[in-house]
Amino acid sequence: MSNEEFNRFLEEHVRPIFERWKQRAKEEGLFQPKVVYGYFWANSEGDDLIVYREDGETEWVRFTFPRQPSPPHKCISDFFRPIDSGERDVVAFHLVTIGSRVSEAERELFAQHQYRDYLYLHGLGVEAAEALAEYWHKRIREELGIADEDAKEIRLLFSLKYRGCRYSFGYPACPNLEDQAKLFELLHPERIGVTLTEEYQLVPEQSTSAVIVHHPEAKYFNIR
Amino acid sequence: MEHLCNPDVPLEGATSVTVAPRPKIADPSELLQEESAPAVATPKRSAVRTDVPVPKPPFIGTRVVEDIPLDEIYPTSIRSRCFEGSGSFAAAR
Repeated sequence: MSNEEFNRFLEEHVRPIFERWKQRAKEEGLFQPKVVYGYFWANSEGDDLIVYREDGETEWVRFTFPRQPSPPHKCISDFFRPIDSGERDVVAFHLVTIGSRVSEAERELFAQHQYRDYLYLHGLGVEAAEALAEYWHKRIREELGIADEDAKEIRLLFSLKYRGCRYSFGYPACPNLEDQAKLFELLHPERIGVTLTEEYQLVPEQSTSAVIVHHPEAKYFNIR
Repeated sequence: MEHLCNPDVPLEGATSVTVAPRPKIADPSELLQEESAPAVATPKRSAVRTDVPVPKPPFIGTRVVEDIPLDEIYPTSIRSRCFEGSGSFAAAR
């Protein structure tokens, strides 16, 4: 199928499905976007990221990130001022959710054997949570005054055409899901109805969290 | 069906073949030894700049935001992600 044919297929067949579900989710209130986020004083110490309490003096939470064993030996902590610099840096965390109603609606569709609709709604819900995370990351860049480096085209925002990076636990540069517990200590996402299971999974599933780094050299990387 | 349960019952139509015995490995532990990687000292930190000006945060602490209009997030990205990302129609193409 050529690109042209495929684009026509999208417009004729996929877009109506997409628009229908977007509209339905809106009318039935299936998505309830909520965010908890914050800014914290921080420093690095080796592979550790130290997060301070509001006084900027008392250590509160310490994350340990893996370092690449081969050059360029990157580690997320490197994107923050070292503790011996005498200057505090800033780190942001956020947790976003589109709420639990979409999960309930999904369960109903599944129980009624409407599997295709179940998959459409599930896909839209998960992507809506990811879109909300992207949207809030943009808000954080604006609040930090570094959004002037954003790409002008929204499409390019998904290929990291902006300053800094949003790292979610469980991905290569910060693989420890247990770190979610530390993020919960900082943000208390229970306030927006999100809890953590014993396996460090977010409930409801249509939620995502991240550590947000302002450093211009911060991009996604693998540990190898 | 009995041959499926009892290995002693000959399978009708089956041909018997003789398989050569496996060669013996002199010292099996030889197979387990990996080539040792040349020792590269991992530095304490990478060459990432440490003099980037620290942005001024609008506040220190946390905030909850609940009044986010769906239309604010819908058009920014769901379209491209659902249409072009992994698990999308494009990926299934």
